[in-house]
Amino acid sequence: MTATTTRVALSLQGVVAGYGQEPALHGVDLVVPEGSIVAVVGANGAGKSTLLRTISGLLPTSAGDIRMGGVSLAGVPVEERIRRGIVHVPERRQVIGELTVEENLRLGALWRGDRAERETDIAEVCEFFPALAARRKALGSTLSGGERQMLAIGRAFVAHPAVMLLDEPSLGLAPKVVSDIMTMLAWLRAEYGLTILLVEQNVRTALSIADTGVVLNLGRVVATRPAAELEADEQLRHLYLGF
Amino acid sequence: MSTVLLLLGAGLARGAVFALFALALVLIWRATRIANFAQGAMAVTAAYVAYLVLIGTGSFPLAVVVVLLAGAGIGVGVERGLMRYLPTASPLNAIIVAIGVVMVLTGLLGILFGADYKPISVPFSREPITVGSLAIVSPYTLFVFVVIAVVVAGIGLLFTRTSLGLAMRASAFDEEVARLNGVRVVRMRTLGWMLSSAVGGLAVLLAVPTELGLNPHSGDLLFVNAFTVAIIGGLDSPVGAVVAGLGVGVLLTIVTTLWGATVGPIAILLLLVLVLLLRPQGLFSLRKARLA
Amino acid sequence: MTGTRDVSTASAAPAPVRPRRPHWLLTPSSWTPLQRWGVTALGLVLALGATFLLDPYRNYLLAVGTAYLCAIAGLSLLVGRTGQLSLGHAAFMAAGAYAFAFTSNALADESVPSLVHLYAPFLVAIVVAAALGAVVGIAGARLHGPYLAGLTLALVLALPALTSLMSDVFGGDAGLYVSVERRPEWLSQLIADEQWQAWVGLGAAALVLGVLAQLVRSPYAIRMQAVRDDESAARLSGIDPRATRVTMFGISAATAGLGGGVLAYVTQAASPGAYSLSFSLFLLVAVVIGGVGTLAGAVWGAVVLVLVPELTSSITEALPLPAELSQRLDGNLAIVVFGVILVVVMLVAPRGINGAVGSLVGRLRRRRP
Repeated sequence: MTATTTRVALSLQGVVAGYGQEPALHGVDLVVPEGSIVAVVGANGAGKSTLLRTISGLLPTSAGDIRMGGVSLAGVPVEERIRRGIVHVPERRQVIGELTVEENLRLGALWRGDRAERETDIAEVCEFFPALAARRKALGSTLSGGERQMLAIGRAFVAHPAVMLLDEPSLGLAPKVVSDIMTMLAWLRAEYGLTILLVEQNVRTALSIADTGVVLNLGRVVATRPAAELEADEQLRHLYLGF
Repeated sequence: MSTVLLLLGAGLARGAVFALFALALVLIWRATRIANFAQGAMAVTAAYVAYLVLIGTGSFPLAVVVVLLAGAGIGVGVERGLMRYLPTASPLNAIIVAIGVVMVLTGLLGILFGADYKPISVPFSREPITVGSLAIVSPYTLFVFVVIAVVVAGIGLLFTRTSLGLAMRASAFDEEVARLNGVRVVRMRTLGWMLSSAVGGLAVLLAVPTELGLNPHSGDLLFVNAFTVAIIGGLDSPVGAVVAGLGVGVLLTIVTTLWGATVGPIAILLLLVLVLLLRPQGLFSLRKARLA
Repeated sequence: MTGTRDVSTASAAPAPVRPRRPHWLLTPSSWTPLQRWGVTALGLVLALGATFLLDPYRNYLLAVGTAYLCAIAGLSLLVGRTGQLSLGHAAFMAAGAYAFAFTSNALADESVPSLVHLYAPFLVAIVVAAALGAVVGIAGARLHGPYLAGLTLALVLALPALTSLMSDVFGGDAGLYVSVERRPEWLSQLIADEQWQAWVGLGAAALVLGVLAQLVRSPYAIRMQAVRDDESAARLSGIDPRATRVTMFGISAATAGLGGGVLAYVTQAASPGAYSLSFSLFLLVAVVIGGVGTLAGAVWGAVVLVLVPELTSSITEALPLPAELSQRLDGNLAIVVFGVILVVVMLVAPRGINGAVGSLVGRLRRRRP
C-alpha cells in the first residue's frame, strides 16, 4: 500500500531470537518505510519487547537479518547501533534518575562529537517540551511519569535517529498524557520526517497515529495491515488482541 | 594556640589523604558497584614503583607522575586481567578475588623489597612555618593540601562538566540505557579502575613521608581508614568522602596525639562500629543503605 | 508378565537394568544422626591411632591443623550458608587464645582437679569468642556485602594495637606464656607430649565437626537457606534474618575461639603475631579452596593450610639463595601462593576441592553399569 518510491529505513527478515532454549521470535519479517509510523501490537508475551531488543542489539539473533538502510546490522554491538541511527527507548522509559533533565538529554547526543550542534538540538527539544525546559536542572527522579516519557523521547530525538524504537510509551500514564505524547509523536513525524517503530499494548492509541499495524502473536507476525484497516477488522482484533 | 593550629593542620593534611583514598574507593563503587578491597595493595604497589624512580633519579615531581601512571597501569591490569571475568552474580566473589590480589601483591612486595620501612624524602620542609610566635603549618602539609585539593577539584570537574564524566556516571547508574545511547560501558569501567588506582597511589605517596616509611603492609591500615571514611560519608557520595575524610583525619590526629599512635586502629574500629550501628548509609548518601 | 507380548518384541526389548544403590558410606547427606556420630567417632578413633605412626613434629602439625579446622569449619558455614564474609576471623581465634591463656594460667596457680584445668580454659575460650562474635555480628548483620567485610578487617587490624596498648595485661608483642595441663600421668608411658596435644586437638575438631554436621541437617539450616535465598519471603514466614545471621556469626566465632584455645594449648603461647590479617586471609583461602559451605571442604582446607607453608618453607630452604632473600621469601612466598590459589579457584573452580571430588565421584558413579 505504501508508494514504491518510499525508501525502507529498517527491515527484518526471518529473525529468530530469544532467551534460553525456546526462541521468543520465530522468523519475523518486518518493513519500516522511511518517514512512517509502524505500530507493533499483540497480547502480552507476544514478543513485542523482544523484537525491539533484538533490533537494538541487546538480544542477539540466532537467525535472520536486520538491515538499516539496506546495510546489515549483523555483528554490530549495542553501543554502535545508535551510530547507525537506531535509537531505542526501552520499556518504562529508563530515564536515569540520578542525572538531571539536561544531563539525560546530553546523554542522548553524547555519541555525536560536535558540542555546538548538541546544544542547539537540546535547546530545540526544550522548545517543544516546555515542561522539561522549566526543569532543566531537576533530577530525573523528581519527574512525573509523563514528564519522564517526554524526556525519554526528547533524549532519543537529540540522538538524531533514523528510526526511533519506542517500547510501550503509554505504560502507566494517564489517558490525557498518553494523548499528548501521541500527538507529539505524530507531530515529530510530520515536521521532521521521523521514522517510528512503536510497540504498544494499548492498540487503539497506537493505531491512531500509525500508518501500518503489525500484529505479533507468540513470536510470529500474523498480520501486516494499514492501521485503519486493522482497527476496523473485528475478527482479527478478537483473535489476537483480546477485544 | 600554636599547638591547636599545628594539630589542625596535621589533622587536615592526614584527612586530605584519607579523603583522596576514600574518593578512589567511591569512584570504583560508583563506576562498578564493586568495593575494591585491593585498593590499598594496588596503591602501595604503585608507590613502590615511584619509590624506585625516586631513589633512582632523586626527583620527587617525577615520582608523582610515575605513581599516577603506575597506578593507572595496575588498575587496567587488575580490571582487564581479573575483574572482567568475574560472574557478576555475587558481590562476595569480587571481594574474595580482591583479597587474592592483595595477597599476591603484598607477598611479592615483601619478597622484592623486604619488610623494612623505606623512608621517602620530599623536597619540602617538614618544619612548621612560624608567623610571629605562632607555628602554623609546615610547607609539606601545605603541599599535600594543595595537590589533593587540585586532584579532588579535577575529578569533580571531570564528572560534572565533561562528556566523559557524564558517560562514566551514566554507565554506573544504568548500564543498559548507557549502552543504548552509544556509551562504551566496558571502556568506562576500565577508566574508572584506572582513575581510582592512580588516585590511590598518589594518596599513598603523599602519606608515606609523614610516617615511618613505605612497607608492604602500608595498604592495610590505609584501606581500613579510607573504607571507614567512605562508609561515614556514604559509599555513593564523593562529597561525603571528602568531608568525612577531613573530619576523621582531624579526629584521628587528636586521638593519637593524646593517647599515642597505637590507639589509632582501635579508634577507627570503634568509629566504624558506631557508624554501622547508628547510620549505616553514611552522612551524605542519597540512597538508603541496603539494610538486612 | 510378557504374555501379551509376542516373541519378537520380547527379545528385542532388553531387561530393565536396576541401578545399583551406592553404599551408604558414599552418600553422607542421607545419614541418620546415629550413623553420623558413629562415623565421626570411628574417624576420631582412627585419627587417634594414626598419631602413633607420626613423628613428634608431624603430630604437632596435626594438632595445629585441627585448631585450624575448628576455625575453618565455622567460617566456611558462615560464608557459604549465610553469605557473610569475615575477613578478620583470626581475631576470634585470638580472643579464644587469650581467654584460654588467662584461664589456664589462673587455674595453674590454684589446686584444681586436672580435668578442670584441662577443660575449663577451652570452655572459657568458646564463650568469650562467641560473645565477641555476637557483638560484631550484631553491628554487621544489618548490612550486606562489603560493610561486614570491612568491619571484620578493622577488627583484626585493631587487635595488635590493643595488645600493644595494654601490654601489661596482654603481654604486648611477645604475648603471654600459657601454662597448661599436660597429659595425664598414666598415659605418659604410652604416648609422647605431641601425641597428646594432637589428641586434644582431634577431640576439639571432632566436637566441632559433629556439632556443625548436626546443625547443617537441622531446621536451623533450612532457616539459613531461606534467609539466603529470599529475605522478604523468609521474613514473611516469621524468620528473623538478622537473628539467623547473628547466631551463625556467633557460632562461627565460637568454633574459631575453640581453635584459638587449641593453638594456645599446643604452642603454650598467645601472641598477636599469630593472628594477623595475613592469617585471617589464609583462613579464607582454606575455606574457598576446600569448598565453601561444606564440612568436608573445611577438612581439605585445613590440610592445605598446614601443608602449603611447610612446602614453601622447604622450597625456600632447599634453594641456594643469599640469606637476606631467603628470609624475605620465608612467609611471603606462602602468601603469594595462597593468593594465586585463591584467585584461580574463584575463577576456575569455585566449588573448591570438595566440588571437584564430588564431580569426579559423580562421573565415576555414572560410568558403572
